[in-house]
Amino acid sequence: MSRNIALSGLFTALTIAGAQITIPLGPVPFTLQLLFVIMSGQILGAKWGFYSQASYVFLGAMGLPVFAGMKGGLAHIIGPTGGYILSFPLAALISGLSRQDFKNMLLLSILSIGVVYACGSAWLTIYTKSFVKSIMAGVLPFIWVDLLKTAGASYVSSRLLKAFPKLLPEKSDGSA
Amino acid sequence: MNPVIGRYVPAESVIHSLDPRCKLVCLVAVTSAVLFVKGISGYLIPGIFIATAMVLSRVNLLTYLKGIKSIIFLVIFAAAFQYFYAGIYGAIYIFLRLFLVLLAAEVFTFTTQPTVIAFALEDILRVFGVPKAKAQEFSMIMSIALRFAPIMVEEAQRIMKAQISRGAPIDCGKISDRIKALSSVTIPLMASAIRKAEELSLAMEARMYVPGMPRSRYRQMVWQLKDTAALAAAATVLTLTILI
Repeated sequence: MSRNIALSGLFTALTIAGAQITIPLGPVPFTLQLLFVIMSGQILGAKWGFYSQASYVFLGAMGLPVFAGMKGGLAHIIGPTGGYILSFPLAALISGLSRQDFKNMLLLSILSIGVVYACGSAWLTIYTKSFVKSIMAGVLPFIWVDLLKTAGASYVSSRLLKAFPKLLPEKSDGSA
Repeated sequence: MNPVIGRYVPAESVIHSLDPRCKLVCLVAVTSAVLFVKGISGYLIPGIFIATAMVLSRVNLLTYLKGIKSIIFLVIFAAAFQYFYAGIYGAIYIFLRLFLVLLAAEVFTFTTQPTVIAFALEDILRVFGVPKAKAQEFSMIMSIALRFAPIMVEEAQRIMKAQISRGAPIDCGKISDRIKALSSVTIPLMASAIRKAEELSLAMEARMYVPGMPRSRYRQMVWQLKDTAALAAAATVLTLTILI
């Protein structure tokens, strides 16, 4: 139990760190944030992944500079890109539903990226007034890199879960 | 890339001694006020409030500017971007908005210790009807996150440099190579996080941390008259900005 709390806190910290680290990769700034969102679900399981990302959103909402580019505050959640941030707990929850093998993890993480895009674009549409425009601005430039991220996350998580078998719940514990 | 979070500046001041819950609610109120501002002159009211708080906090004003040095470039970039859509007026408008929000966040983080912030968040969650045990778990997760965020940023940069020095093509080469090289950063980073969590949970259990059990606090938060005054001032700022 206390291990789950400690791990959730560290994954929140990793998500904060991931939002600050940009890697030069072509024209689109590449951050590790979404990678950690998916991995928090995969490593912690659905429930604790959700808690970890919910506390991330909550810290940001309260004005601490934890979002990309060291921004924070309710303004960013209400703002045009808020839908993406709000979908993080949901994305972690979905990608943590099954942690059996690489294939399951990959499928679920692709699904969770889809949820992030759906929430984000729907939210952005309030501002752009056009769903097509939102998809053009918020999905198309990122989709390839993000799909690679899901593959990367699932690969790394499946290897980590093998290296640290303690992370997986025992059969009697249904908290996955 | 110096995260402002968790950077507490110790001093003896009115702002430091305010109840953290009060400061948190004020921060939310003032940040929303900045969001509601319609014209440039409207920034005057929240601006004065934030400036007063900065002076009262007895933190060197240069420290405030240093804290946002790394992102001020981003702010200017956003303003320049706005310039092409809405002219110089729009650029100043967006610059002031981001600048004030950042300063307000800094006043809070400079004058409040991270652990205390987490306790304040716990109380706020309780107000929203989250049961006590859940709220305490959340506050524990958040205080761990706040404590470890700067450490994880440092760790990530250290691992990245180490892998580059071993020849990992992270900052050059083909895109497919770079993505492969990225797993040489994420795996050690994750492994270190998992190991840290393992040690941390052992330390917590050794100190009799039992999730869901009632816990007492070392420092009790006491709501004083000055907290009410600060809250009233923040509420006035918010109403005035919405009305104008």
